[in-house]
Amino acid sequence: MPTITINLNDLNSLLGKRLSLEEFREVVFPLKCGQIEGVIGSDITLEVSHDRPDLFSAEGIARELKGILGIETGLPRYRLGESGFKVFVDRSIAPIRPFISCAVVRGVRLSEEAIVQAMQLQEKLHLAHGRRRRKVSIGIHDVREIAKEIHYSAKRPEEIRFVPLGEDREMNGREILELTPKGREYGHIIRDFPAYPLLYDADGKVLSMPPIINGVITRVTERTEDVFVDVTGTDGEAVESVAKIVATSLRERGGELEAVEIIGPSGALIAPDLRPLELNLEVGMASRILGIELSAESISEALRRMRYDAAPMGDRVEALAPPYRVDILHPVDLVEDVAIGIGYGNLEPEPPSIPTRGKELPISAFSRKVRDLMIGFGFQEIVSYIMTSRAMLFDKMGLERGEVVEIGNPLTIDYSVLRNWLLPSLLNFLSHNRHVAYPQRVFECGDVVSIDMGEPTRTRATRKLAAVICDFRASYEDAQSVAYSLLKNLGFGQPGARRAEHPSFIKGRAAEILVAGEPLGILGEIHPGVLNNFGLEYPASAFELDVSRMMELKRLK
Amino acid sequence: MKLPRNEGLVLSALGRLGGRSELSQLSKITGLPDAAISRASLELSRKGLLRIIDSTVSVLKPTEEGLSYARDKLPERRLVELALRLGRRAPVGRLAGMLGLGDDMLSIAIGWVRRKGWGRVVKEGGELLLEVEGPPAEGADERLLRELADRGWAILEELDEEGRGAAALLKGRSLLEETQRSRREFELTESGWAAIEEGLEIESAITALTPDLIRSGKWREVELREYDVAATPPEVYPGKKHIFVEFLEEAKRILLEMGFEEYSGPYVETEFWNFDALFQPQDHPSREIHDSYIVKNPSSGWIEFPDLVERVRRVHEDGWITGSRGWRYKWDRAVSERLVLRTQTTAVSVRYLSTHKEPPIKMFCISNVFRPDVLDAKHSMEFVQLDGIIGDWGINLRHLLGFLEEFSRAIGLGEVKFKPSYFPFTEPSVESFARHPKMGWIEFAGAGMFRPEVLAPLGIDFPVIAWGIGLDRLAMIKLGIEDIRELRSTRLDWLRDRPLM
Repeated sequence: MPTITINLNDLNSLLGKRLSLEEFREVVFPLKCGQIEGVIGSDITLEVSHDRPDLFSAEGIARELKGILGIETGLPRYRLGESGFKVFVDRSIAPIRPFISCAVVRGVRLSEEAIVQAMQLQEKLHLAHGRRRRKVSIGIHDVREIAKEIHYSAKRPEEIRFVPLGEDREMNGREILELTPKGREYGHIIRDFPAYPLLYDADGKVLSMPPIINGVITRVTERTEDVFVDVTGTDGEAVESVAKIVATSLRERGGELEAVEIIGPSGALIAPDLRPLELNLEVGMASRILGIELSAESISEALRRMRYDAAPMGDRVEALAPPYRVDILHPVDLVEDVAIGIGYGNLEPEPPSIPTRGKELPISAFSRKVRDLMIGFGFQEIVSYIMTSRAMLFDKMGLERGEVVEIGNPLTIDYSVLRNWLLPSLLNFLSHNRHVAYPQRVFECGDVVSIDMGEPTRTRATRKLAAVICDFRASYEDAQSVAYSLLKNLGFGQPGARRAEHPSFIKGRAAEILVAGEPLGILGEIHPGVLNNFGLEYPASAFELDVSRMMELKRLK
Repeated sequence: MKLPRNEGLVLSALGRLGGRSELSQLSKITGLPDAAISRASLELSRKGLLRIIDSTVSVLKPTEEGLSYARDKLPERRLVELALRLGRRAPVGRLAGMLGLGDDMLSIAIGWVRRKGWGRVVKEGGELLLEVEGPPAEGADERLLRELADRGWAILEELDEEGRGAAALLKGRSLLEETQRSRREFELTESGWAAIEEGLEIESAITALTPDLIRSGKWREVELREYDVAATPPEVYPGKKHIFVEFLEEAKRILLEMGFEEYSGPYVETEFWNFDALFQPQDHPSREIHDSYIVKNPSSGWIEFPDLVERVRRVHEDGWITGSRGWRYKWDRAVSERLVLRTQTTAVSVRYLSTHKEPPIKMFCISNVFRPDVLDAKHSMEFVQLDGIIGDWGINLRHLLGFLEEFSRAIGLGEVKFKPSYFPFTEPSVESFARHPKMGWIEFAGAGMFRPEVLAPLGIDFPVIAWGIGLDRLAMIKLGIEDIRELRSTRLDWLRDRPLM
């Protein structure tokens, strides 16, 4: 979940009410930004839910708190004036970054904290909803020097020339990608296109090269009075949503919201679109979901605290959601807001009383019997990761590399495939315990994964048991006697063994373990070469059995 | 003083032996085996009743020749005794003939008769005669030789001056040999003597209760020695279940007792079940490579239920019949068929619902999930998740809160509190916190009610509550572990020493 930092004094001035840290903690907890991660002085770090990008700044949180505290409930009113700005969208941008939305906030006074919050909002939106600027990116500008006619089009990198923010000289498009920190970080989004997106005015002054960097000419400072917001991206709806959030958040600092006319190849529209979303909520539905008796009135009241306009209409409520609430898909989303408006803490927990009988998976019950027996034989149980490496599964075990489930984006080669047998995990375990008291007898009962193209997931998981004995002397017979006793105690009768050739074991000291003629696993003395590979200095004997198959055989009987 | 039998025997024997003795003598007197005496004397020395003195001594042992002389007497004595019987005066040649002494031996014997002053040799008419006075007394050398023959050995340092002289003499005649050996002696201390004077009460105690003692009933006559019960025993290691597996079993047991059915699903999962069926849009951040492991080989699977695939597509694109706006994008079937390592066991809950559509439903799954992370004290690329669902007519959010409260108490945590949260597949969504007796409020479970966009494509028309709990973190809290890697520790001594509780 995204975390943001706000300043309590700044929040209090937005709220018009003084909350102590403790009071703030209490009122914010029941909200979707209620998880306080840390406090340094009056700076508070909060975790905010993914679905509520409108709470990624102090302005949004203040707006939400006003409702909960009863300072100001119902729909925030946004009057949209005329800015006179026109943005001409050129056809050339269509294949690269076709969508743009804009807004102007006039007469805003940006304190240092306000600028910090605006940058943080921008940053968090880029991360969470902009998919690291690929899907959506935001520019915030001081447009005192900019002409009202703005163009959004694609330009060849060599044609682009401006001083980017944070630099002290003019650069072309390619230089920006190669030489500026932001260019290196986000350049991959546009690098492969023959032309890059550019936002510039009628005089050729560059506002930004989305989604990389702004021009220095529109830098926002504490002296900035009129703010211009551009949001560009590859998803029209996401672009519009982000524009609404940024514009309405800035507006919380005062000033007037003004519209920008966006003129594209196929027509013109007015941005941002701040019309509320109309929704209906049935009283019965909300009551059923929350498990409490609600009325149209009580629902309306709760929704107003959550900054909706809501009117009871018989057995339903007609609601208008604020434009920045871009998370609402279904009436259940309103139900959650009703619950938050009421307060989760005011919902009485009620243990469900549905009489059913517990039912364990047969493999779980069977595995427990296997584990109990291994404990009885004096073995220490171990647990290891299913993720491992080819080196572990094949190379160290003296085997030719075979096919295993392979991860496409491993972070380290040590955990890049899924194990297809358990014994390597056990030998790896022993290799960490060379100086611990012997004898060492350990086992693991766990899952391995193998490729099976007949399955919908092309793979099959199998429960296995592997055990190893490592001591000054550890013979074939030591492992064999345990394996045999285990199988006899599980009701398989006297097992058999058939000599096997297996490079992990000493030649002539390895066998398949047979039950009624069917091989259920492997048994033997570990090959000294394998012991060397794991750095083991004492002999080891081991076995590995297919527990899933053992259980199947029991069930067939 | 009351002492165990062996100790009492050793102590009193030592008293009788004048307060100082060595093992063999004690063994003879007490009739105890050497090992038992050693044990007892160590114990007595610990109690301050005797001192153990170690030294090096010269052991004298008769040679073959010495032994034969001890049996047949020294040649000089035999010569003198025969001469006596022949009238105190006899020709040497005749004596030698009768005793069977060769010339060498004869001259040696005559030499000793002279040196010991037992007689004199006179020459009469060209013949040598031996004249003796009477039977000579037993010499120190003969006494030592006899003792050596009787006992087999003697200690040089224990002999008196005369004896030491005799030993030197015999050694010179090669009738004994001398070797060095270390000796352990036991000597009574003041308290040892005092204890003896005060009177010893002997317990007839023995160490090992043998089958023979039990069968014969002799155990009634003996007393079993008391042990130092506080002594540290040697270390033994039991076969032991793994603490983390035991914790998982405990969680499972609680859910079984609550009437839940256990279920499982594949580790390698199609994105369909892991994400799409859970209404996570295909460009959702958690589906990016930073947040899920993509499987390269094999790389894609298929979905068993074509109708379900179609309904999921609709619900993503426009909400289908659910009343939802949907995510409003073009859903891609190929994306849903890609294989990933399961990132959430919620995938198993949805799989269960696709084949179990009759209420009531109470199901759980405890299994591994995978997310790209570098393994360190706080992060793991693989961890165990618990997911559970309850579905029935009339199930509501308060039941979810009630279940979480109940489960928290069952797992040994305290009261719970709730705040709103977000998961793409639940609405309302809940984050729950449980009170830990020492750590205060801890994040406990993410939960919620499955969205209509999840349930409708599955053909489920009753409400379903769902929750997920990261069991690694909970186990760490419960087991007092601070490093997540210790849950799958590769340290055998740690596992051996770690209490199960």
